[in-house]
Amino acid sequence: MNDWNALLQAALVGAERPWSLPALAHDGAPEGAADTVAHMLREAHAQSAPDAPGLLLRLAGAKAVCQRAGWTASTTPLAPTARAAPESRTLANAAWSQLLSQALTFGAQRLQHQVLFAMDTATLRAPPVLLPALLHAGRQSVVLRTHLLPVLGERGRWLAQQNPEWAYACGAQEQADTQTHWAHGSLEQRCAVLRTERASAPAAARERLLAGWESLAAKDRAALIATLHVGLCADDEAFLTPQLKDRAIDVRRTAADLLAALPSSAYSQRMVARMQALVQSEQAEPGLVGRLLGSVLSKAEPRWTVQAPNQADADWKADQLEPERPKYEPLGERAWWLFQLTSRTPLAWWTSHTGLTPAAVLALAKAGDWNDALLRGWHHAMLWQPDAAWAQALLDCAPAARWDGRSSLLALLAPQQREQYHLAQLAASTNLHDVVVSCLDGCAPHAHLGQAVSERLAQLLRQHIDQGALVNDYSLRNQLPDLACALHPQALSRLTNLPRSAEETTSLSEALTLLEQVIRSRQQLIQLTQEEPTP
Amino acid sequence: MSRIPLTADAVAALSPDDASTKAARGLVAPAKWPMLGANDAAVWGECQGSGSKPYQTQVDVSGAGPTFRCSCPSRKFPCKHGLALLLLQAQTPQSFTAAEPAWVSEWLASRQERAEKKEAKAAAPPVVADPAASAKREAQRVQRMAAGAQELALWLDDTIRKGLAAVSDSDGPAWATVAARMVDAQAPGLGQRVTQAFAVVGQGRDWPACLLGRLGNLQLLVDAVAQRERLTPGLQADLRQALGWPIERDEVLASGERVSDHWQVLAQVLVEREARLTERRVWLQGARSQRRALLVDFSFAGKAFDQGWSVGVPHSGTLAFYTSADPLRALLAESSPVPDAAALPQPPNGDAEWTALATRMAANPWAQSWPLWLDAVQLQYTADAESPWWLWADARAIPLAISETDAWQLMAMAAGGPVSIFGEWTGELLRPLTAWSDVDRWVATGVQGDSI
Repeated sequence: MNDWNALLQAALVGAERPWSLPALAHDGAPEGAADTVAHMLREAHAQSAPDAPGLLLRLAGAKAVCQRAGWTASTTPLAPTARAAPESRTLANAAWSQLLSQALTFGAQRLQHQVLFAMDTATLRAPPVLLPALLHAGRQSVVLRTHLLPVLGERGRWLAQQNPEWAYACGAQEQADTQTHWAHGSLEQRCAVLRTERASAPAAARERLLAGWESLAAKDRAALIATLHVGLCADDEAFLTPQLKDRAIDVRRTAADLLAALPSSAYSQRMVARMQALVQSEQAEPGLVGRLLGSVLSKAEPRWTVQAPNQADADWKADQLEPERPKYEPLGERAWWLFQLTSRTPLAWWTSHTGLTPAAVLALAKAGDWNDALLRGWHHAMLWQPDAAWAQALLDCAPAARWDGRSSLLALLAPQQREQYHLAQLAASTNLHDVVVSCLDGCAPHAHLGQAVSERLAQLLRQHIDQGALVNDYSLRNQLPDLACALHPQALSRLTNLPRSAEETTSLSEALTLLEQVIRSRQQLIQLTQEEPTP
Repeated sequence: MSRIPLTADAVAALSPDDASTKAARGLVAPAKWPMLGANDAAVWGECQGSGSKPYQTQVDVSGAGPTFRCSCPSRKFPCKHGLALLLLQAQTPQSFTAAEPAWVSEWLASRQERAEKKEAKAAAPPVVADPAASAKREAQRVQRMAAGAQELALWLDDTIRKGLAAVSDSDGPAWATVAARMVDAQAPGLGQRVTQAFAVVGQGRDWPACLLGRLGNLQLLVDAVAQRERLTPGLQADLRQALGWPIERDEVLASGERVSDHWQVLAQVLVEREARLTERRVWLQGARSQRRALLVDFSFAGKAFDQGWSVGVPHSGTLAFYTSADPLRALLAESSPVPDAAALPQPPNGDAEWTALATRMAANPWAQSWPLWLDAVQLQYTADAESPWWLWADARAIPLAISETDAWQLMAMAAGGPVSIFGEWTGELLRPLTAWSDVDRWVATGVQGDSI
């Protein structure tokens, strides 16, 4: 036992009990005969009475000071971390860095996205001081990652490897070849490899995925199989069909969604057959002759009705249709079955089968009993089978208020149609907040709204602010930073020089200041982007 | 206006905490400021607060670092108004058009006057009001402190006789009473050390060893009080400092050892002490003398510090060191008007630095933190919950006390490469304050484990 431990043990049990320093070893080792501190302690011990007040603490104090002065770092068995790889991107200059720093502190996600998009386009990388905040922002928001990951640079990727919370940003070097990205990259990088390859050589990408399929984790399989959506073709059926039996439910569902998007697939045919039994024309006799006669002789359109299934068939499970209604499902049991059938039936079938336009099909549903189930089903089908006519029809009959599915539909419209849709909304609605949300839904994070819509929105918003109506409109206030980033650049001037007063409430003051700052940052961004030579 | 305003990031770096930065951003609106102005020496403005009279905010920017003053009652330093004023200037310098009002001129003049007075005072011989009376007062205080130390010695002996295993959280009030009695005995330093010792109880795996070390050190202190006359003058001064009896500035300026040099600012850190009191520690190293020095200032209720410092900006002048067995603490006695551009002193050789540290510890056993500058070290994050951050040098590991935010910033700056780090060594942990790589620099936003 060494001296310190002997003193500590004595101190723990109390100096009332007899204690002593251990005998010195005579080998010259630490605290052996050659240790001067050990000698000093023993000398002091010997010169004092055994129960002299404070003796134990005095020796401990002296020993502690000596130990502290003689502190040496302990050796570590671990190897030091490798250094970050050399950078291939240019370091952002002060103006860009400041802009990025502002976007991160303001917390306005659209601004962050736009700055990162612009920096990525200009092949810039973020300065080291901003990397932790940037990695944190990417952890919070998946949508930011597309342009955030390249802007991290090699240093950012290296930093992400040091913190398990930032694992999403680890991956292969940006400049590495496709093969390296595929073999050693992060999941996001691997998905990107497949998406790129699918666009030009769908078969080769499928082969690449197939080659390592068995050894992939469930999470990876689910993410990677979804990339087949790019360039989906009839040849994919042979690969997708067996995946309906995958161990992971996410993989099975995605495979079913993809197969439903292939109208020629056996899966689609089975779904159509199930649906056909439920979608019937009341007027027309069954059979071709009757139908022909019906359409020629009668002036009235054939009256189509949609029924929900009465029972779940035994073969449903194999096609990823769930007979069991989930616990918190708002739809009734039969509606739940209909919803599932609708969401995996090719959209094109509805128009070809009934001879109606998408808008007419929707009107039909509205008149029937199963509108909610059908709308949800069609909306789900749209995610995998994009179709502008259906998107327009679904939007036209959509509720005016908040609706989660709107952004994916708006994205399918041509810009001009989208603009028309918003202008109609602006003309009809009295609630500025709802229209703002809808406009933001339809506007891709790095795009901006058309000039007409922007001017009108900015005008209405300015009126709102001038009238002091923003004081109590908390929900609209929260949308302001995002809106400032989605407006057409020409419309921004309407929102500068806002009326400010010393009496405004703290929260209003913060909201208006943030709006002013975001607008200023956006203007800087526009200016910087114009200065930057396009690569 | 020829001076370039600070950037928004540079202003944010001056902020005492995130809440202040956020509050300051809320004030960055010209409408909130009925009056704004700036010249080469200062920036000023009137900010409309909740009261009828606007706050008068001003920043002296003529020194190496900005110094703030505001008429608001905030205890933050600098307050949100001062920060907002600089942010606003970074954003819209063109709106700073107002002429210099009287309250700005007066403040600048008073600062100038104070600086001149200080110089005059430094030059003039110290005036002692009544040597006999003050000697009597001193003798009285020494008597009281000695009595307090004796009482503490008895209590220490009692505690160690019962054994440290018997100490638990529930003894808090009893220990607090002992600490309060030391304050009554005019030895607040002893009280503070009792409080610090109790703070380790139940904390971490080896708190009994920690507690024994701290109580042992207290024993050395009360032993020293008993035999104070036999100590060297340096150690006597250290004892006085440890007991919490500060040495007067005038005395240091009058009789302290003086060193003139180009002083490099190695680190600067602000620590909020009790309510409304901010402590500033500035670590300097002389380019010629290689002497290290520590300047400690306090600011009460957001009053400005006399002299601004910035890491990396050298300052030529003369320091007066406090008497000590290991002189580190000093005062700025004289400033040379023209700051010289001096290259950053090279980080010291590792072995020499550790030896110097050991020598300092041996000289003044009651000091609680020491400057330490380590070259070619690598920051390492481990999964260890109790101390996740380490510095690695030559396959050896040095534990750090650093906030998570600061640590990741430092990690990003170093990118796995070797860095040179200056910080405060506490005997078992390093509190990093500044780090340099070949191309970049990192500055801590705060210190960990420095609250009492």
